[in-house]
Amino acid sequence: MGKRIIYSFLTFLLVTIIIFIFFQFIPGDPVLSKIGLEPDPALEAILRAEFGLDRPLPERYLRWLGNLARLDMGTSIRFNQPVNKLIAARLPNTVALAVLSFILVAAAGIPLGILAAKLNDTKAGTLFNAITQIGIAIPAFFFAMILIIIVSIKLKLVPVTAYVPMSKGFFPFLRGMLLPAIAVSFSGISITVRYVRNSIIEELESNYVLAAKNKGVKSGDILYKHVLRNAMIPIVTILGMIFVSIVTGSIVIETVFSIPGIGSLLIAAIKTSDLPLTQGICVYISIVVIFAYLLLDIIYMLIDPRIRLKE
Amino acid sequence: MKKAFQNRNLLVGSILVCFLLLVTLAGIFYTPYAPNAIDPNALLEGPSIKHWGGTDKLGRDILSRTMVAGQSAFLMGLITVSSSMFTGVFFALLAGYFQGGLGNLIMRFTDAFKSIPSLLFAMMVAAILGRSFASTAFAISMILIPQFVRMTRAVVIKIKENEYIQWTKLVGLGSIRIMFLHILPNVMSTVIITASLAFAEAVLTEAALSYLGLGIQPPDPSWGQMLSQGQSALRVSPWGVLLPGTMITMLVLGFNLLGDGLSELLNARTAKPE
Amino acid sequence: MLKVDKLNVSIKMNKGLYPVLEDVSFSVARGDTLGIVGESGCGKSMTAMALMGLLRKNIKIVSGQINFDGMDLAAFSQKQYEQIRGKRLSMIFQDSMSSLNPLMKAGKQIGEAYQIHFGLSGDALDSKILESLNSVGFTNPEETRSKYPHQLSGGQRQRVMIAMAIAGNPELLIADEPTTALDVTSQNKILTLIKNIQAASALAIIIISHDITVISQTCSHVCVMYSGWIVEHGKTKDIISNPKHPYAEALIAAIPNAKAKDKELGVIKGNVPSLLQRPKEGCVFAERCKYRMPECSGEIGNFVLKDGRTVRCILYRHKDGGKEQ
Repeated sequence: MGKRIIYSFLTFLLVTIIIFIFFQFIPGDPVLSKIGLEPDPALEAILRAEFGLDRPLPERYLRWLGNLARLDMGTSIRFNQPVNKLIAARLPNTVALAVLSFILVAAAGIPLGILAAKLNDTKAGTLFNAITQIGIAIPAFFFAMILIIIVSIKLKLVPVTAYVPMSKGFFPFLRGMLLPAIAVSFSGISITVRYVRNSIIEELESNYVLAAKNKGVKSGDILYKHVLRNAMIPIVTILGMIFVSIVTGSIVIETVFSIPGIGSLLIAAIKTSDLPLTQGICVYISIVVIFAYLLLDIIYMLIDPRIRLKE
Repeated sequence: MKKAFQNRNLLVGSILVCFLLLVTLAGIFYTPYAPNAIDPNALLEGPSIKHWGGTDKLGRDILSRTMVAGQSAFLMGLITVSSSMFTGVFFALLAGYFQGGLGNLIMRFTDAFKSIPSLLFAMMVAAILGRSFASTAFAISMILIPQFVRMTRAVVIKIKENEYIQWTKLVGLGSIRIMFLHILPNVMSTVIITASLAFAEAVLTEAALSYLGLGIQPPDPSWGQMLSQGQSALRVSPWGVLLPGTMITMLVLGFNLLGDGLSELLNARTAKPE
Repeated sequence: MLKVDKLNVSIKMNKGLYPVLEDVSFSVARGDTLGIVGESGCGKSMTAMALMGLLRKNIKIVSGQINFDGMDLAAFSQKQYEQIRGKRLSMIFQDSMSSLNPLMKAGKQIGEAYQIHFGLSGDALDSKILESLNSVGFTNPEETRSKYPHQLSGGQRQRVMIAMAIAGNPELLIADEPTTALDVTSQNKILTLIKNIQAASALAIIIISHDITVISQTCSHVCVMYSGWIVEHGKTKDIISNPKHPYAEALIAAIPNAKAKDKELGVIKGNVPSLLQRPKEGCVFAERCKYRMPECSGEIGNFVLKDGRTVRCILYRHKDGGKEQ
């Protein structure tokens, strides 16, 4: 476990280095752009010192990292506000969307995967397979538009821009989040269904299933008492992938449904060349992802006694 | 060959990809209308005999635009997959052949890079290098490298243990020679499978970036862009998004199926030499 | 109590039907032990699975009867099998590591059988689990019950599996290579354990092994199998001292080499043909047989010799009092 945490920390350092170095390649000079085309050399020097740009690269990296540790990610040029405040303000919407999507993936993906495994070798099973393949292939934003066309425009169940701020009540907010969450989670559900299905089919072939039948366990009970838990172990390894698909999915889907979250903030930042804000959000999301991977590895250790032993 | 036709994934995948490729290639020589021709008398029309895919809010023919946009998608896929394939396989050979110091360093970087979500990375590149076809191509190439490294390296390590390769070492062949003449041909099937799946990811990422306005910029047409334009008129003309959206889905589906089918076919072959 | 009569099993593959067991017949009486011996791939485990109703989906019983206490198991549905598996007939599997659920503690896996067959729960179940672990030779059952399979040694896992298999007091127990993965000491312990269980409950046992020495230590009767046929069936001591079928002869001749584990049966030229390459007509052993003659490619029946054993070889048409069955 300790080794895993150190490994995550190393990954974190490497990621910050990659991002930091990347943002050093910006064409154009932030100082020059601030003071105009005909700079006063004295002013320029003062500003450079103020930004710390006169220091060597490693020192600047360490200082940036130190600031990061204090949650100081600089100031947004466009909003003229601290980056961390801007992120914090938008965070609840994004977290709500992601959590809701994750719940949908688990609540729909696992039972549907079990169903798909039961339907294996039937026509319905083949159809199921085809739908999940399409679910993986279809871009989330296109699927979202199809949802809008059907649910909002044709059936008129919810308004097209359904976003309602949380301040107007939790349930209206949740209702507005539902369609976006379905759009975000569709590919995750498809991936989960496929993995659960394949994993169960594979486990059903194992010898312990024969041994359980031999013991007298009814075939209906074998799936739930013996196979399911074994089949779930490989699923944990794809949860990371699903988490990433949800995070990137929400970035795009927030734009489709005009939800003021981190994703739409990031796109606004990029389009207005607001580099501190862009950098801040990128680092922030990367950290969340690394942390999620670490958490998943720990869960993995907890449910599989064989790994617990090795540690 | 007979087996290739029996594999449903492979069959459906190649049919989809070939069909879309044909439509796209046809677009170089013929489109029903000039893709940028504006027709003020036919704004936001649904599908009709005149305009099979309908028209957008400037009255441009959606089918023609979709065909031309396909060129961007294929070109983007071709450029990014080939460049990331060369770089990725090169690093994979190094990382697999020199396990330990250099290999570990490459893998650490690959792992770290992988924990930046790929779309996020592409957006970062768009922020720094600007929004254009070239910067999108660069971003997607970078994104695709890690999977080539990971997949290929695993095979390289397995092959390296083969008696045959051990023997070439004993004979005194140089590392570079062994890597490129003896190991490389044996990893090709893995590389081809990875390339097919990577193509699907390239198409999907390009579409998302262009949709967000961070990828291919007008006047160059792209499916993502067409979706974003169609979305603004979704209420009036829901048809506008259907054609480009279906094209993306079909192309991604095609390459995914192709990759799955190839891996079933090639892995079965390596598992059971006949 | 168990009488298998002309059992034929086929495997469905690439739309073709390939026979894998042909006219397999044998019987076991209460309190008796029958051995089935042969090289791997000869159909020993397939026979066991057919008896237990555990054949994979694409493998089917084509004809023949499995008469168990007046019931024909060959015609049983899975539902009917569920009523008798574990309770009346049971099996110990080859590979104890993969045959135990890796995520379930040993005690719970044994307890499940008692739950199913006796409806036990709570304290009654707990004490039954401890008792059963104790009876298969665990000196510290409290500790063993809370261990996962991977925390046990091969011999210990085999004991857990035996405890699981006999929990329902079956009348027939099939042991498929019960000692193959074990060292000599654990091997003897497991065989003794099986014998003791048999002595206590007049259990009928079928022991399947590639190792004729294991069979000779435990079984009164033996079937020698080759490529889906029972080539010779009779008293163990008769067959070991004087094998009749050319394959049995070669098998017995190979015993001194059996200690060198990998080379067992190496003296017989060639290999057991794979399922798909079995000869469609004539004797399955003809290709490797040193007595081969033209008649071997015709139909080969079973010949009962005057000492009571059955041999499936054309040589015994008129020899040793051989009479076609």
